[in-house]
Amino acid sequence: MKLTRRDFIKTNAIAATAVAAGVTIPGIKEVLARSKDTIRWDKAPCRFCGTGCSVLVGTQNDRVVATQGDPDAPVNRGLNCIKGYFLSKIMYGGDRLQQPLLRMSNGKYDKEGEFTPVSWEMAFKTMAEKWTQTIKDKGPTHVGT
Amino acid sequence: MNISGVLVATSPRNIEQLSGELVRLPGVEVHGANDLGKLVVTVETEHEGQMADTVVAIQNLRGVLSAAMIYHHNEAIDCPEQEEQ
Repeated sequence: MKLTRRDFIKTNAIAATAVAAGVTIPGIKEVLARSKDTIRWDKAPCRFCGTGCSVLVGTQNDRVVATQGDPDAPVNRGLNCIKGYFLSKIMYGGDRLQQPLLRMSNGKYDKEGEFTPVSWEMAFKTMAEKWTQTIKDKGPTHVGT
Repeated sequence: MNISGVLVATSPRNIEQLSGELVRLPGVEVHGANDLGKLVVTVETEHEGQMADTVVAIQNLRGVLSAAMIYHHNEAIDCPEQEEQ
């Protein structure tokens, strides 16, 4: 039987779910054993909330492509919540902030302006200026992190 | 392309009816069940948002006690029919 990439991924999904459900699906182990799995699996704690669910993280070509709840973890026993599943992949989200943005109007900082991409140099320079100015005007008790 | 494995729990007497309702949802397949009412389901969608919506839709079906994602795979497949072996 020939196995497409899509079939293979689906078979992995079925196998993991069957283990968590305690359902036996005939033939599935044989199909997976015949395929060369190019995914590397590592173990990590979920970083979403404080429960500490254990997650198996699958990477391929240095990218996280798959996650599954760790069936051996006493905390979550192969389950994860939906936030935990997507967490590892939001790293690659197209709308993720990847460079500094500064509120600007007409090419200058403006508190009411629109967020505009700027260089890191510009971002740090503007932050330093604002801090220095505030300390100068109001004293060191008026800044904080 | 997103493929997930979802464990759906229902009461044993609902397995047959629920399986019929599940496969009517886009991208949903039922692969097996046991006599405790646990169903092995896969969901296939283009985007992650659709995946989350589908899992919520499953949770909202009558008779579903819980729908838990067990496995999630997200990968851009250029050629869907590419051979694994």
